[in-house]
Amino acid sequence: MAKRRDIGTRSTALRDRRRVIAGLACLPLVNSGMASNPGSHAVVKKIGDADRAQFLEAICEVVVPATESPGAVEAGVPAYLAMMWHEGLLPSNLDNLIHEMDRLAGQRLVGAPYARKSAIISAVDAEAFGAASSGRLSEDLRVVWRSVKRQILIGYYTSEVGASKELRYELVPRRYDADILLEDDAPAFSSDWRALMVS
Amino acid sequence: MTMNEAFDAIVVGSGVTGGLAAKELTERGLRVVMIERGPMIEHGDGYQTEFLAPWELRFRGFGSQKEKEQVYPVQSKGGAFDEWTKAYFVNDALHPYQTDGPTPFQWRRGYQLGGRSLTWARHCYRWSDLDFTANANDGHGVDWPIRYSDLAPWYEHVEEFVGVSGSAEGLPQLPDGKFQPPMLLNAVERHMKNVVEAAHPDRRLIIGRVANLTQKKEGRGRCLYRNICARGCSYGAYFSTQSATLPAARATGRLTLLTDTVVERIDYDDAQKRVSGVTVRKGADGASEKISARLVFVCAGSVNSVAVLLRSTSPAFPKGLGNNHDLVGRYFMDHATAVSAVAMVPGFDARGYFGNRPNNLIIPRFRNVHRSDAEFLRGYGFQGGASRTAWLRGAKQAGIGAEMKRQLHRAGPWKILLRAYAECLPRADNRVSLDHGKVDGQGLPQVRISFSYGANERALLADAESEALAMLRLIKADVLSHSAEPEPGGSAVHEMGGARMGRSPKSSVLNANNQVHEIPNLFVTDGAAMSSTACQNPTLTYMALTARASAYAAELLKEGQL
Repeated sequence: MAKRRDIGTRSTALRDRRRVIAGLACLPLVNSGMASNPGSHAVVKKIGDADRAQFLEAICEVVVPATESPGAVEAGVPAYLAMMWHEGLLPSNLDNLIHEMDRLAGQRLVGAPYARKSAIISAVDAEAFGAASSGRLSEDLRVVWRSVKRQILIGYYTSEVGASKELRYELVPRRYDADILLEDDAPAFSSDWRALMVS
Repeated sequence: MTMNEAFDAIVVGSGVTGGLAAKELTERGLRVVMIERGPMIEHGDGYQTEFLAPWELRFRGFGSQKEKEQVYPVQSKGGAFDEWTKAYFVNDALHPYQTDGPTPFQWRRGYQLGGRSLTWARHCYRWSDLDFTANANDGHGVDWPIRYSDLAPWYEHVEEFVGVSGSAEGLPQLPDGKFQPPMLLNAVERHMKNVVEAAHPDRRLIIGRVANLTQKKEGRGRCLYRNICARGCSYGAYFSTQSATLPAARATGRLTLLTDTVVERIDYDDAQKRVSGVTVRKGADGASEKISARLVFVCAGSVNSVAVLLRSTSPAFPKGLGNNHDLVGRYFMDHATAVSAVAMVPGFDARGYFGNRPNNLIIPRFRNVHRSDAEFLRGYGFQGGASRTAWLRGAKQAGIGAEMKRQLHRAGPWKILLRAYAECLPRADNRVSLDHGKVDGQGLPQVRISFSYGANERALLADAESEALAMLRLIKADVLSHSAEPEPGGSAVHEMGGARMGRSPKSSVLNANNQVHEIPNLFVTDGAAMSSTACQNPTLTYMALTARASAYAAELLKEGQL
C-alpha cells in the first residue's frame, strides 16, 4: 500500500500538473519508437491476478491521490476493484488496457516513476473523454478506461473515507434549508441522493 | 381445505388501496382478512437496509449490473430501484409475464406486505371535473359515472388520514385539499417560478403535494429530509401500509392478515349470484384453501386485479368475473412520460441547500384548461427539480489527480430536469389478458400486456418538449438533452384501467360505487377502476374511491343488502 502523501492542495495541484506535463512530453518518444519498430515490443505477457491487482492499485493512486485527505488506495478502492473484476463487473478486456499502458510506458506501468504513470494515465484519460485526440487509443480501450475510472470514483466516494471525510455524509439531516450560501471550500454532501441520481 | 373463521370482507392485496380498504372496513365494524401474496415486512424492523451506508453494501448502492440484467431486467429500470431497495421489487425471473406492442411494457411491482406503498413516489393530487368529464366531452372512453363533487369529501377524508404536504393554489384543474405545510422550493426552482409565472400568467410552478409529513401526526414522525423513502421509513414520515393503514386496521382488533398467500380465484355462487369468497394457495407449492366472506374487495394493483377477475371463471361468467361483455382487461392505460428536457443552470454557484427534500417541483397542466387551445386532446403536467450535481460527474469528464479531487470536493453545477406526464387515451386494444399456455412461478397463467401509445400521446409529449425548452430558455439554462419520445408503457408506474367504471354493464365493468355491475358484493377499487388517466398522479384518487366504496359496502352490509 502506498504511503499517504500529506501535501497542501495548491502545491499538490502544481506538482500534479508538472507530472502530467513531464509524462506527456515523454510519450511521443516511446510511441514513435514503437510505431517505427513494432517488432521490438516484447511478447505480450499473460496477465495474472497479481499483475492486475498491482495495475489497479497504481491507477488508483494516480486517479485519486492522497492529499489533505486519504486517497483511493487508503480508501481500499483496489480491493473494491478486485472484487468487481472477480464478479465480472469490470470490462472483460481490461487486460488489453494494461498491455496498452505498459506499451506507452515502455515498461510495466506499475514500475514506472509516479510522474510517468501520471502522465500516461492523464493522456489516456484525455483521449478517452475526447479532451485530446492523438488517435492512439482505440475506441474499445477508451470505453474500458471510462468504465474503470467510473469504478474508481464509485469505490472512493462511496467508501467511508471518501464519503464522510473527503465529502460530508449526513444520513439524517433532520431539516431542509432550501436556500443557503455555500462557502468556497464547503464540501459537497455525498448523501445528496438526488444530486447523485442526476449526475 | 377451508379456513373456518368467518369474515365479513376479504381484501385482496395489501398496497395503498388494500391497506386503506382494510382500515376503512375494520373501522366500520367489519371483520376483515387482508391477503398478500408476498412476505411480511414489519414497520421499522423489516426495513433492513434503511440505515446502511454505501460502504456497508457490497456494490456500494449501485448494485450488480449482472444481477440487474439477469434477475431484475424490468424492475431495475425504475427510479426507486437500487441496492438498498431491491428486496421490495419482484424477481423478474421468477415472475415472468408476456408483453407485445412496439416496446415491451414495463410492469414494475413489489410482492410483499405493503406492495408498492413502500416504494411509491408519494405524489397526491386531486382530480377535477376537467378530468371526470373528459371522456364525455371528447368521446374517448366511457363517461365517468361520478363527478368531482362525489369524490371531494372522500379526498378530504383520505388527505386528513394520509397527511399530505402542499400549497393551496386555487387552480381549477388541480383542486386544493387539506394540506400540511408545504416543502420549499430551492433557489434555482424559485428563480424559475418567478420567471415562468411572469411570462405565462396561466402557469404555476409549485412544490409537489406529497404524502410526506411536515408535521407529526398520530404516532408518525415528521419528515427528516433524508430522501431515502423507498428503503422504508422507521419514522413513519411517509404514507405506506406499514406506517399508516395497517396499524389503524390492527387497532380495531378486527383484522386478520395473511402473507405469502396468493389468491388463485374469486369464488362465485351461481345460485346466490354473489361471490362467496376466494381460493388461495399458501407458499409456492401449498395446497389450495377456501376463505369465505360476505364481500370481496379486489385491490391487487391494476394488472393483478384484472388477472384475478379473468382467472375466476364459472358457468355464469365463463370468461371471468364481470367479463360477459369482453371488457375486463381492456382500456388499460399508463401515463405517457418523457424527460422533456435536462439543462445546466448557471449563475447560482454560491447557492445551495441543506437536507434532502423528498419532493419535486411541479408545473400543473396548462393546456386545454379553460378552453381548447391546442391541436391535441387533454393535457400534460411537468414534474422535476433542480439540484447540485454530485461527484459522479467526474466519471463523465476528463481529469484525474489532485485537481479533479479538488473540483469534486465542492458541490457541482446546478442541473434541472423537467419530466412530462401526459394523459393516455383509453383504447380497447390496450389490454391485459391471460396467456394460458404459460404459467408463472406459482402455477398461475401468465399475464399478457398488449400496449402502445397513440398519436395524441405523442403530440402531447412533443408539445411538452417544446414548452420545456422554451421555459428553460427563459432562465438562460444550457440544455443538455431533450426528448418527446414516450418511454415504454409502464415507466410511469401509473397503470390504470382494465375494469373501468361506467354507467352501463355493456360498456363498463364497475358501477359508480366500484361494484362489479352484475355482482353487488364484489368491489374493485385500485387503478383498474379508472376510466381515464388525467395527467396528474392517480393514487390519491384510488384512495378516495376505496374509502368511498368501503363506506358504501359497510352500509349495504348493515342494511342486509349483501
